[in-house]
Amino acid sequence: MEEEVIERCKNGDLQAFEALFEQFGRRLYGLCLRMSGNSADAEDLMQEIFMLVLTKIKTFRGEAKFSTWLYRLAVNACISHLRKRRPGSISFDLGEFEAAEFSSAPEPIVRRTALKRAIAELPVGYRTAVILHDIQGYKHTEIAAMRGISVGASKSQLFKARRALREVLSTGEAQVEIAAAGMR
Amino acid sequence: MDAKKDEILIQRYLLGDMEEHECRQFEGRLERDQRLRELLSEYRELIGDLRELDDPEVPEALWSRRIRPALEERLGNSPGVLERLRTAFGAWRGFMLKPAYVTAVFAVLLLVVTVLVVQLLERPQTPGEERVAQTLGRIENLRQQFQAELAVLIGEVEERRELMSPELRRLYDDTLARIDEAIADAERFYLLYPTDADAIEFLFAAYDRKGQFLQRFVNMDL
Repeated sequence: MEEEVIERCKNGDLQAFEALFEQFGRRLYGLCLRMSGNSADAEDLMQEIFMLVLTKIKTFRGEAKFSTWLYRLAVNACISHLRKRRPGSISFDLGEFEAAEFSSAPEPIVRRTALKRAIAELPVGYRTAVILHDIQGYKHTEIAAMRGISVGASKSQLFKARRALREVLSTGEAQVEIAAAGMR
Repeated sequence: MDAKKDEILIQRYLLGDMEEHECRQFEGRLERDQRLRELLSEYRELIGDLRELDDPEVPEALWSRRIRPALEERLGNSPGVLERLRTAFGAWRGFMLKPAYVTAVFAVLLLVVTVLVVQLLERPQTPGEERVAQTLGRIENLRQQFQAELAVLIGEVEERRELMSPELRRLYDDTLARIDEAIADAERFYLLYPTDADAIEFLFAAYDRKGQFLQRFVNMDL
């Protein structure tokens, strides 16, 4: 099934690309949104990734799993985009607003907001590690294959990322934000 | 032992990355060392929070609005006008007409949505940031519309105030005061983070709750 879709993609069949989008779109969009920190960049990235798939899919020989190949492409596109991004870009996650369930408790919202912001502030390598492992649930071996790094490097980046996040959250930034927002 | 090494040990422990003897040694230390237990608990909480940040839904019509036209262009086809119209309307419908938001107050605002949809149909395709700026403007506009509609509902309830029993009036005043406090909190949060999804949702849900509360008094058989 997947092989057939890939072959059709190689022949420029738009319906096959749509099938890929349906199968991998949510996961890819999650990656783009967490990596970029805003829905505008995430949409641009999704478009860029599918354009890359269009131009590069002929090089896919089936030596790795297609999902690993696709994710490697996506992660590299995100990293490259972040390195090029101009400073001071707007931060906005309308994508989540359109989709998220409403939660009435303000404290979890503030903590989640603080966490999302802290992730967005992490260096790119750390951010990639925490998104792929802790949020999207990939194993270190999979991440290492996707990113072309060693398993040890993947673990090391994850540990450092979590330590940075823990420090941000435990220094009371979330509480400061609650106070600043006038919340009890 | 220094804190940095402890943090690495905790993460290896949580990852299941320790040899059996290391694991026993670490658990022995955990029993004796309260600070280590607290640190472990902080990490568990952090990892739990991260796992809850699951993949968000893909924005409505991202495929047909952005990706398909780009692929078609590269492949030498051009998008049809009908497809673009359908896409533009789809994007708005997805944003506005979610069941959770369809309340009496939102029903009044459908007229505004219709106007916005027409405006959206007239616009050419725009890149991500421009679309975001447009959507932000619409959200602010909706916020003002919501406030205006709530003011109308309050006026309607006030007209019926004389018909309320003293007990019901007190209940109405107390509850409304509590809802207004929650809205004031939500507005402060929104003004701090006007582009944050949670802040926007929190605010609109608070307006929605107030709308439902007032509507109940408007419809009440007094």
